[in-house]
Amino acid sequence: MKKALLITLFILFAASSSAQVVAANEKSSKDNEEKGLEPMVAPVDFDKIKDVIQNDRLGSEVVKKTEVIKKKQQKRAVKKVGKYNIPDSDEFWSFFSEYWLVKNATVLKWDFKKPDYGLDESFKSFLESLGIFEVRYKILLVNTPDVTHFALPSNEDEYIFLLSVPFIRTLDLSKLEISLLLFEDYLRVKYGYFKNYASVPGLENFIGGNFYQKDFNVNLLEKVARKYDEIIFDKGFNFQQQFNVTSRMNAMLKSNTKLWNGYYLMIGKIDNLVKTNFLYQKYLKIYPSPELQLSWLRPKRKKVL
Amino acid sequence: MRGLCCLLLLLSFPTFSSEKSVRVSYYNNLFGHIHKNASRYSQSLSTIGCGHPIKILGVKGEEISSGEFYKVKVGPYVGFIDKKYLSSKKPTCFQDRYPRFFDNVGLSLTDMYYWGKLYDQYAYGRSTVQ
Repeated sequence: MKKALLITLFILFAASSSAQVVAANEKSSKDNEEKGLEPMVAPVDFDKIKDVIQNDRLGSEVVKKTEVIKKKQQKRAVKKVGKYNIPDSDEFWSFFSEYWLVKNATVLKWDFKKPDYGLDESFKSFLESLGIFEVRYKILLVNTPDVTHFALPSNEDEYIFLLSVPFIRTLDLSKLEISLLLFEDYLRVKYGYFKNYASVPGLENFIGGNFYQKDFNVNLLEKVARKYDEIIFDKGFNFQQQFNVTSRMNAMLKSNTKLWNGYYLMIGKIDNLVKTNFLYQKYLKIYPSPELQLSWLRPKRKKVL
Repeated sequence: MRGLCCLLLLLSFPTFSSEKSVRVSYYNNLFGHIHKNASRYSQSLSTIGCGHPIKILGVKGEEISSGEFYKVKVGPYVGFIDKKYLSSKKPTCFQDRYPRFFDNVGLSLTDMYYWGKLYDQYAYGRSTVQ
């Protein structure tokens, strides 16, 4: 009987003390809620389970996963920035030359039906006869006398040629003569005369750059387009450049009498045309001057004593 | 007369119905045109951009070609496109490599049309080692 009473008393005491603890906890969490703090949770002692985690290799797994996420984020960032890349010089010039052709389609009048003159094949044979290989080219015939013949800068070892149909018809140029004209233009591009002229300040840094979180410089492109207009329609090449090109042509064609004679006669034809036909007066401004070219080509007479 | 009409109808029906897509190719230039006929000067039905999927039409698994052109179907249009502008794999286009630059250049629909025409007008060539 005494034993049973003692056990009942112990149970009652234990129950009342645990109730006090619960009430105290509830009160403190209520206080915390009132203060805007999170309810108290017994902190986990990680030091105690560190060994368990290490044995499970969960720690190294976390490091691995963090690295993968970091790499993915970096990749995403690079991709995002890469979207703002500007083509490098290898792609920029081809794109821009075609952009200029598109913008000037109505002035140049290249969108017209024309007969197949077979110029692609004849120029290919011409280049190969001179030992110039792996040169890709696009020839665009234009239906205007304003641009007689011109080569635009393009990708590495690629050339865009403009050739006026009224000009070749007026001069009645043969395929060989047309190839010679195109080859002159090829040399001008090769010497970088066009690119140098069109390279406005700032373009060098612009090409191949990136404009992420920067304003896109449209003005710069407009300036380059204006330079294209200037060199093609108005200013052309200077005497020194013409002399360099003519001298190079002379040196390259000298070994082949047929080609050299063809070149000399063709310059003579152009000289005659610009002196007689009002439509082609502007030619002298672009390519000065056929008359001088003839004198540069003419073999010097040595005085024999 | 009625019999002749029936005969013509019977003859023409299998030709139209047997034209099916043989394979899918991708346009590999910046812009281009689906032409009404197999000629680069033929009327443009639609302007397409680089990477555009193009169904090449054929009969009994054989592609329908006329000279340098394939008969193709692009969206609702059935026309012709130059073989040299098609790739079997999706090309890495300029537009995709430089998307923001391309957007900022600000090409209009007319520009895109002319750009496609430009590739039709070029005479291409390449000097090679013999």
